[in-house]
Amino acid sequence: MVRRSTFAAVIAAVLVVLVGLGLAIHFANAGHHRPEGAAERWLAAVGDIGRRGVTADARSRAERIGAPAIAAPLLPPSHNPRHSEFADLEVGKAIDAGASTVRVPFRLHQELASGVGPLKTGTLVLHRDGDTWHVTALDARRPGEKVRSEGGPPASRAPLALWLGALAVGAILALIAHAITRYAERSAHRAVRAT
Amino acid sequence: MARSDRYLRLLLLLLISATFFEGYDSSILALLLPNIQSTFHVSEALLGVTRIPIELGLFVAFFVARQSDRVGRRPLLLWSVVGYTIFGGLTALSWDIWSFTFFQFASRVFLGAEFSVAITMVVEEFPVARRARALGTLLTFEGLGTIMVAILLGLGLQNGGLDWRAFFLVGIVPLIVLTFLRRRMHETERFEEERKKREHGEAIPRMPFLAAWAPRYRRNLVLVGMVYLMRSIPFFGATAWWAYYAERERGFTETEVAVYILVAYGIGCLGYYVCGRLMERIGRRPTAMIYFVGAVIFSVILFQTTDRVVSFFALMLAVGFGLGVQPVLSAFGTELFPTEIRGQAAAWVRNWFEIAGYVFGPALVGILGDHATGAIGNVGDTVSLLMIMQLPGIFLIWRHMPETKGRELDELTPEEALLSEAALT
Repeated sequence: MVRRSTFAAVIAAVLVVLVGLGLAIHFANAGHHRPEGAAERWLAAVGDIGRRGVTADARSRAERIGAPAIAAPLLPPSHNPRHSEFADLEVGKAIDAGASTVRVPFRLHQELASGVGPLKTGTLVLHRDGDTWHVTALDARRPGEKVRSEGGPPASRAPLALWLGALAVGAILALIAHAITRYAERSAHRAVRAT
Repeated sequence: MARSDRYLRLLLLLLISATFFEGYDSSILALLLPNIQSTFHVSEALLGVTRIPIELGLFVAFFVARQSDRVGRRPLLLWSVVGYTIFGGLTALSWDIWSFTFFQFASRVFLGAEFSVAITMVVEEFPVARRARALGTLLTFEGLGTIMVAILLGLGLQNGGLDWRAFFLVGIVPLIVLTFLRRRMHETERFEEERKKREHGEAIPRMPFLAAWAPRYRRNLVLVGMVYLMRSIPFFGATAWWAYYAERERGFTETEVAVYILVAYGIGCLGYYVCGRLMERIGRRPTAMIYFVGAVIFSVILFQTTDRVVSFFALMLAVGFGLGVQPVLSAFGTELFPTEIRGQAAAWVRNWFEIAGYVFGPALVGILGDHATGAIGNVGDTVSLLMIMQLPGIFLIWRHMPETKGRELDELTPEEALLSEAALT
């Protein structure tokens, strides 16, 4: 039979691995502050301001990134308060506009009281302040400013090294799993011989 | 004595409610979160926090499910249905986010136990020639539970006076079915035999908490558990994030997402049934490998393509292979363990290894694929990269998993089933 102390040790080892994995992810994520993500969050929060029950939370989330008033031209004339004011939204890759400023193209559909409304496209102008991005203006799109579904570039892309690294991690995981299975098998053999 | 065809059909009908409502209940929460958020006036952050105790209910289900080796499959299944329906119904009466969280947590505890026991009962009651097909049929209804939520959403049930609460009231149906049919459900014959052995002092009267980890069972428990884990992390990551990915990274409208889920899931559910037939015909191991490879290929295509038509067929096939592999996984999680430990082993595999993927898969995709702060920065690439985690699972099945095709459970002695490295047949 398995001793509880052994089981506790295995659980502790698993927790250590999880903490290690958590730290690795934390460090891998550190330093990433994408304007595309900030633009998307802002638009989502602005859309939620009109949703019943979450107005205050949504306004606070939006104001941390930019003044909700900037989005006034995007809002539908009337909408169902059960839903966000935008039926969907998509942002494209940020284009450098100099002086810590980028332009992020977007497209969204308004959510009307009667259902999905017209398509709205445009570009958000964001300014970098330390590690954070703030929405400062809403502008018309310039040539070449497209989102992914219109044929534009993806907002971010995993580099080739990451794909190769994932394959290597997969191979290492397979080896570890193989070793664990063989170990369990040997201990089973020993137990059966002993009985 | 073999069960009559009529009884087996009735049993399958009764057990279907367990798998159907597992798919149904999980989907309600995923698809109706914004409505629930509006009702209780809570922030997104608090909503995220409440998901943790709710999902932990499936983990706690382990402690309930393992009791099936002690009290029997039938009573545990019946009480699980009662528990699930009561707490599902109470969810509809929630007065704030915390009462909602508690009722959903409790509902998940019973639902998780119900699901585990249902699989064990099918494996124990159906003869080998029909077991795989029965598992396929049973698990098809898990997918149909998701489709039912999509249909009810399409019909606008959430726009009625009861809002999202109406969806939880539908969950009372299994209790009504059970009220009428419970007397016709029997304890499994294998458990009855085991109980007689215990009464004659031939078997261990009570299984300790760690009994399934005894050296004799450990190999298969670790093996099946790792296969479950390596599949569940990318799989649950993909299912939790596909709708978000389609809208935010591929420009799908909300309606397009709903239609894709309904149609592609509907057709993709055939994967369960085909899996049941295929594992009967060519065996568990080859079927599992085909399904794992199919799931990886079509999921990567799904999360990389920008073409809507390709995306539709990739979603259909990813669902067919990714979800459809459940019958063969359930066979691994039960057939490889002797009767006295089967319920516990199935509970360990599902409520520890698989649920770990259920919790960590979506979290990993959310953290690494976060558009603002994630190391990868997009959901599509993150899911595709995680899919590579299924490759070690394929290797483990090919290299270590025993084959149980055409074998009655009683033919698998613990030593034979647990020590064999290659195919048994």
